[in-house]
Amino acid sequence: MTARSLVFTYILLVVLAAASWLLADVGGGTALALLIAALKTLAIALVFMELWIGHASDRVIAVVALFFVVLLCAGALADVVTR
Amino acid sequence: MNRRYHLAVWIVIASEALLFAGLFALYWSYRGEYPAAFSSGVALDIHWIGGLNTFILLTSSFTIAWSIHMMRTLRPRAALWSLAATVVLGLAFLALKLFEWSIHIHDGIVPGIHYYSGPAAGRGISLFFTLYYMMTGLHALHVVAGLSLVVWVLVRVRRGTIFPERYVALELVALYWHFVDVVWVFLWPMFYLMR
Repeated sequence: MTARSLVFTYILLVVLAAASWLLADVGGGTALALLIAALKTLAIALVFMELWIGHASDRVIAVVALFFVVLLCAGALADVVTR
Repeated sequence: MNRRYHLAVWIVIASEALLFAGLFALYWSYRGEYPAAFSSGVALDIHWIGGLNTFILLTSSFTIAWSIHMMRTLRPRAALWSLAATVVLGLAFLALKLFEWSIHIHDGIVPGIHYYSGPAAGRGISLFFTLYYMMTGLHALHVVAGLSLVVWVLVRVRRGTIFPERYVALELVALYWHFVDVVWVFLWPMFYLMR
């Protein structure tokens, strides 16, 4: 990754974290906080963890792991809210 | 050869993600069952520490990514300083976390039989703080492990056994450190922001 992309990503992460904090103080919703967390994760994974330029097999592992994490959380929550 | 190592670390990260996923699933199911208690729990957490720790970990992710960039651009000494900054930031994160736990313990929010007995007391708040200690504790253990690896890499860079032509160990440790950061990116809103 280039120096510019690393610095830009860091600034983006700081801005997103600040936005998340400010929105929570004014009563921002759970969905928005999670969306911002997901955006930060995407930036870290693509640039800092180099999935953007990395090997396809790394991307496959990351996507499959993410899928199972979401499936597990969604399944557990669905069980509670549909009782 | 290097490809194999990267693949192995990605598999470790995927396994670790599933370990945390079990706890995330617990959190979301209990939050669905006790929404008011979880909101009270979040309100009891120390928000400035959670926020500051977020900026610390995000910055440490940048510094370790920067150390790889320095190594690739043939500046191992600059890489060494970036790694040192990562260690300092990691230690600062742990110090703040210990400080936060000590405040909670002082306030009577202690794991076990002496849980919080304030106005919001009840099963929901007890579950919230059980998950809080379990998840932030497990994450802190990962920070300790990651930090140990960063120190190991730092020592090797200083000794010259990791250098611009061979720095795969630095890349692998950085991958793990970024994963630790990603976990915190979700723990922060769950325990400090979602009131």
